[in-house]
Amino acid sequence: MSQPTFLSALACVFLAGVVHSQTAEPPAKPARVPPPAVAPAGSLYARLGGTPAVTAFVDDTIEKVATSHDTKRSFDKVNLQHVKNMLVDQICSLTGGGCVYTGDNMREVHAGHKITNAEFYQLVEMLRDSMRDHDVPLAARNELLEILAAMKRDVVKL
Amino acid sequence: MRLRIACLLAGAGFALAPVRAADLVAEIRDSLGNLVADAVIYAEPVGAAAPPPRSDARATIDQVNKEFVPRVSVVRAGTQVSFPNSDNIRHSIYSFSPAKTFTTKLYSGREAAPILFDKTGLVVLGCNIHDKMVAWVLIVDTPWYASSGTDGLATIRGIPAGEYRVTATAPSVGLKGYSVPLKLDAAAARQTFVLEAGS
Repeated sequence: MSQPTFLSALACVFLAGVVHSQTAEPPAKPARVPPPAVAPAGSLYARLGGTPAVTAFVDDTIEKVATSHDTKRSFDKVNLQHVKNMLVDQICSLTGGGCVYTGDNMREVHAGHKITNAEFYQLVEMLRDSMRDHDVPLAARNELLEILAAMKRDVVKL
Repeated sequence: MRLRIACLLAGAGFALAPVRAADLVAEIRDSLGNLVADAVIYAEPVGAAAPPPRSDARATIDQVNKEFVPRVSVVRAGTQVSFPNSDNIRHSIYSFSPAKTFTTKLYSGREAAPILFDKTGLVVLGCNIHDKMVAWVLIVDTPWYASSGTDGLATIRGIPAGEYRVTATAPSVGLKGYSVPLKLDAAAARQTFVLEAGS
């Protein structure tokens, strides 16, 4: 067992103990399989910069979209770390990184939020900027945006 | 035949005879003397069985503005709890508590199946998507329970005369519960509980 795995197992045991002691602490969250440390060679995931770069630009994008005046309403009271994790997993699975996306489909995720076209394009803009900030090459940026653009109908006006 | 009907009527009359009952009012305070809201009390009969649970017991915990409503519930073991979704956006409800471990996803415009809470104990609920959402469900094996309002008072109405073990607890504000023996007669009773911090 590698050290990070061992530590996370230890953390799970500790969190489970907190719940079992029946305190006012919120319950522990379900476990998630982390994305790979080494991206499969030649994959778009690798060209995006692998897990370090993807995690970093997803982090920035979600922080921006959750605090920007025009887009933050959909992220009110939302567990942003969960959104970031699911977005990394989804990008990883769509770009040959080898992750299994365990989140809900995009239609279910966005239903009821009534996302506007303007909000959608603002997030695209923030993602584009964040990728540039983290030195993702232009070709890889465009390939990812193209993949994500196909999801628009499952995001807006639901 | 007539005799049998008479006997049935007599039997029914006996079953429906008024049982001496009264209200039990519990006043719940913390160790600083503050009144405690969202505390739960329940009375378990001593030396007698509680009446059997209803097979159709139902309770509801709604999702409103990304909060559980109510935040604190007390239900009898065997109750089916529904999780409607007034928010109409997605929620992902879960419990890792031993009394009931489950996950249920609540989608926009789709009703989720109710969850059976069949064991006694405390269940802490969370939402995987909205991490500030927390609710507590105390599952008891007695029909006599109540929770306190902001006045710190919890009233169990119509509790039959007899001997009970009465417990007060307030898990949602981190106060530890304890029990007292209480002999109830036909007169209204009042009991003060002072809860200490802890679990």
